[in-house]
Amino acid sequence: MAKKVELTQEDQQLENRVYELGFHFVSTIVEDEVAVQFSHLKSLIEKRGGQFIAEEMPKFKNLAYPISKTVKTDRKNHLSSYFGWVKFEINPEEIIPLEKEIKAFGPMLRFLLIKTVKENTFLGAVAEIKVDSSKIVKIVDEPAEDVVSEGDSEGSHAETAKAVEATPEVAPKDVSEVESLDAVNEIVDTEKMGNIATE
Amino acid sequence: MTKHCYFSQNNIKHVDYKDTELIKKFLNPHARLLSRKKTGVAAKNQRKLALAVKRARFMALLPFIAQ
Repeated sequence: MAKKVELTQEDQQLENRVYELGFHFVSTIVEDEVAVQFSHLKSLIEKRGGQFIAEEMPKFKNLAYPISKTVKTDRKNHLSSYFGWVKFEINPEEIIPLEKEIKAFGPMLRFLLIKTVKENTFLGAVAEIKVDSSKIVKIVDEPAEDVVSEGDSEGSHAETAKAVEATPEVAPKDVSEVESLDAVNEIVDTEKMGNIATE
Repeated sequence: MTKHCYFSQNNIKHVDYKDTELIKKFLNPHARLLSRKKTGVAAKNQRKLALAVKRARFMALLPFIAQ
């Protein structure tokens, strides 16, 4: 039932959808080549009309458990990898062929392609967020009341934060939202949650 | 004793599977998800958290089992 509703909404809007690709490259590739392979991977998305929203360069990471990969007849266990992710907007029809291409991509160890939202959901790291610059200008030019409504409808924390910086007359509700989000990282580090976990 | 949902309090609308440090706070030493009874997380957010844990496990960011 829920799927049907989603489909009808898509048909009405005929809009692109936001996806996120998280991936592991095998650790056997040279570190200098990671950026090259990452750009190759991005070009696959770009070729199918994908527009990038945010990304993080693959970084060396120890895995929680060994992942095996078989190349022809050679099976090898990997205990480490280069983990990166990219968030992009693409036509939903392109996603299945894109997934096949990603699966066949050479240095790929494992990947996860999920539907997500445009706003930044990753609180733990400083990711490079590419926000549409034309949109920011539009927000600043508009009166403060409109800024609030736009921020609420989209729920984009990154954009709201920028809007707050640019226009100090924004309603206090929005400011508190941003402040509370900033406080999240601090709270995560404190013992507050540690207490809950040990309860 | 009243309990409050961490995600509702901090206005976290989406739980990202890459936020392993955040997710780890809701796991026991065996890397199993703690019950709502213990953490006070709202039902809606517990479902989001469970999905994030499963994604993180698949991506080897978190273990399936830990000793």
